[in-house]
Amino acid sequence: MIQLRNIHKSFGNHHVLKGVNLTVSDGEVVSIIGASGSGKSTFLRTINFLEPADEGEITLDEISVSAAKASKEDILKLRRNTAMVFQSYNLLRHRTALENVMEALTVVQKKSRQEAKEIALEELNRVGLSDRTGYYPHQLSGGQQQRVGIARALAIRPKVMLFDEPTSALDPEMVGGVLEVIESIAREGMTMIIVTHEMNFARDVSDQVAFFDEGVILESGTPDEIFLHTREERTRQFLQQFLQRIKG
Amino acid sequence: MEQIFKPSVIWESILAIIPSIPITMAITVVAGILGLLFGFILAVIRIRRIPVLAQLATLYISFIRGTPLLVQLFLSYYGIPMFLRMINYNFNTDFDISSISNIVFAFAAFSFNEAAYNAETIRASILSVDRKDIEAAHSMGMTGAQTMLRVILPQAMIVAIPNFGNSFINLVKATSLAYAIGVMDMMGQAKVTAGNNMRFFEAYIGLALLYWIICLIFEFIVRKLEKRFNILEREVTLSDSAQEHS
Repeated sequence: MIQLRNIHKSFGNHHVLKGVNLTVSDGEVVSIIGASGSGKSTFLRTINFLEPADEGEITLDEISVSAAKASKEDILKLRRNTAMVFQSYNLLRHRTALENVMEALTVVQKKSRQEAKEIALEELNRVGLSDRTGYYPHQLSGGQQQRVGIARALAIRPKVMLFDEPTSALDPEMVGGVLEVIESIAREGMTMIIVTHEMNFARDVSDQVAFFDEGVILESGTPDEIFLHTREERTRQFLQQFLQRIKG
Repeated sequence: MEQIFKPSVIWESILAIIPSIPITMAITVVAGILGLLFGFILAVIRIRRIPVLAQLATLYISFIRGTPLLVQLFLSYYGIPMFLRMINYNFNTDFDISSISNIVFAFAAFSFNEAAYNAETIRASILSVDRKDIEAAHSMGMTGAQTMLRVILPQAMIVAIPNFGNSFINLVKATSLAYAIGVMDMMGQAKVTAGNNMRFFEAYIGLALLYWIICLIFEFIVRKLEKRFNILEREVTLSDSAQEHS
């Protein structure tokens, strides 16, 4: 289980996160939706300290960290038990697809190269890239790069996977394939937190949807509660804009 | 009548200079390696903005870049013995300063000089590494040292190699100044040879040809290295051939 309590974050005078609370049970898939600039990506990045929160508690099973006084060891522990899939893939550009997936296994988890390679090949196969293992990132399409990113995250066997707008940088025709991969992982029981603008995907895959507005979670619930029985006016406005966008 | 220009002496001079090539190479290699190590330390000090050290590093780099190499050689040649004498005096130690070979002062001067220039190259290439790759390393739970060794340095290398290549070739040529503090490198040997037969032009033509050949060899090696390391611009030929196989 992962629990985030009262997460605060400011950039200078700009108070981006104003006390965010979120609890995710094992195997649960949570989508975070909301307008650009509402702080949802920043929030996701506080979970593994890519963006250290100013205040708040982060609990992942037996690891409990207070943001304000987290030690280096605390941060490494959190990072080694979570895995992030980035908007712009963030593959190591000097390593092949296979090496990208092996990297954390050999360097961080200290697995043998042989074992790491077996796991990496298995995960690349799972995302449909068995024939691209020797390619460098710049030799792959955006969709393929993101699938390597997902394989890399899966390979470390994280307690929770964090997706930061995984399809926002992709060409439209690549989005479907990547979402399918994420969906299949979700069905296998992986715990996930997904920041996304893909409303259909959020509705179909999530157990819980959280609507982010001005640095807080304004409303959260099952997809039906959020999309069909919306309580908050702001949420309704946001979803309407989104509905108009797909109609227009 | 004596010949005005005697080409055969060029060859004789070359044969006389060749045995001193190892001295030139020794200065180049020692200064190249120490310059890289010390330059890396300077670069990291400046990037991390370590208080006091960072300011000293900036001052040091400015000084080295703003003074002639020849002057630095003399500073090393006269300054290091003076410094050692002070140590002997203050700590009652007993270094035999007169036994230090001149080439050691050349090692020091060229290493310090290279370090200052390399520091800027290394700093720029480390800063050129994309933040996204570093974030990826952090998100995997790599430590700072692991991130440096596994992600930042390998990528910085790709950017830095052409610059290192140039500075290495410049170093080969710059070592010719070492004769000024009495080092018998290629330059020093050419001077002695010319002094013996009073054929200065022929000796220096021979010397120039030798430096040229050495630099051509290094240029060739640098180009090979650049190709080897530059994965980032490697063409998609790999993918085409792989597709044919599948």
